[in-house]
Amino acid sequence: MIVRLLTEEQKDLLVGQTYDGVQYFNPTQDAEGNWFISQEEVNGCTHENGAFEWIHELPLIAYNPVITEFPI
Amino acid sequence: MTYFNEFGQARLGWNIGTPSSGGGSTVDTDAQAFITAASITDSTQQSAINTLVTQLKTYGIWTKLKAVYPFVGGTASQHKFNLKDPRDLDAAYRLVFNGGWTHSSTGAQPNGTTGYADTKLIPSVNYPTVSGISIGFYSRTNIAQTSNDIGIYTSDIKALAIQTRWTDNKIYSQCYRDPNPYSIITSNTDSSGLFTLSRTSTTSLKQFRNSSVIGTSTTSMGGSIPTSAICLSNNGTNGSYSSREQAFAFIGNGLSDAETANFYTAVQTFQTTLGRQV
Repeated sequence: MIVRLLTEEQKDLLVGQTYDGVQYFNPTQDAEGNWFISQEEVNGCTHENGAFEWIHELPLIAYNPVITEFPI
Repeated sequence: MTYFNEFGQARLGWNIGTPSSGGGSTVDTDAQAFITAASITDSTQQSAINTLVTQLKTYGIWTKLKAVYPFVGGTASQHKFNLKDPRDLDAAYRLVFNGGWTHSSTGAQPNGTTGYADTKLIPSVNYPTVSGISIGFYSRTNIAQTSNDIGIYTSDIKALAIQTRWTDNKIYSQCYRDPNPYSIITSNTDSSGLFTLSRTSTTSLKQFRNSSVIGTSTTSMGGSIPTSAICLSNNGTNGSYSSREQAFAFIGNGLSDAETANFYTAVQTFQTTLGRQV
């Protein structure tokens, strides 16, 4: 699975912002502490008023999830 | 509202008509409020919602539910509405979708990496006593994964959750934890169907799959009530995102065995009408 890598500054720009007028970006950290968003968020972004066009240029990286060994 | 049906008879209610009846059917006012808010125009979907509401009322379950998410319509802007209070407000427990989701006529499927929904319903506020709460969801996906499907985790002693099928092929259910970390642990190799976790007293907690009890706990509670909002497809922690498609979810008072069986009948009828039952 592929996700989109964010810098700390890019993460801050997306927090609390909607990508299609209904659903919100959810920048998340992977197992190495990298911030990322999903392809669904990028592909679903409607770019109201030209917002967030830059997310299509974000580097693609392999999804490296935080592993939860026990249910919490 | 008064209207006249095709026989010229005066009727109270809303006349939406159906292709099969040629018009004249009445719609429950709560069902109509949801249909209007969610812009449900398909007559089969309208009928399914109406039947669901009337069955829940007939069974005496409607008043025990605080939030019901039917995921009907096929888009995020339609799936977000709470059938019990279809206002577009946090105070109405309208869902806020975060991260990646795929919405379709069969339900709402999170991507398993960032997707979750915030119900805005906080157990410590809405269910301040420990003696009665139920949560549940209808999964259309059978997969083992390290994920949480509905619930909230704010500390070791404040957890409410259904982890439907962990990678060890067990279901883990938590409701204000017992002295053991998990309230209910039992084998489960199928994460599809309606999963209902119901606490009816401090010493009675049951996990249902469809209408059957698959796990119980009679141990006195050792935990306390979570202070953050219940989520769908996550429990508020990184590393627990689910990819199971949800076709229904709810939060309510504790339900008895009989109520849970009737609830399953109503929900399964709803799913069958929509052609998405599992």
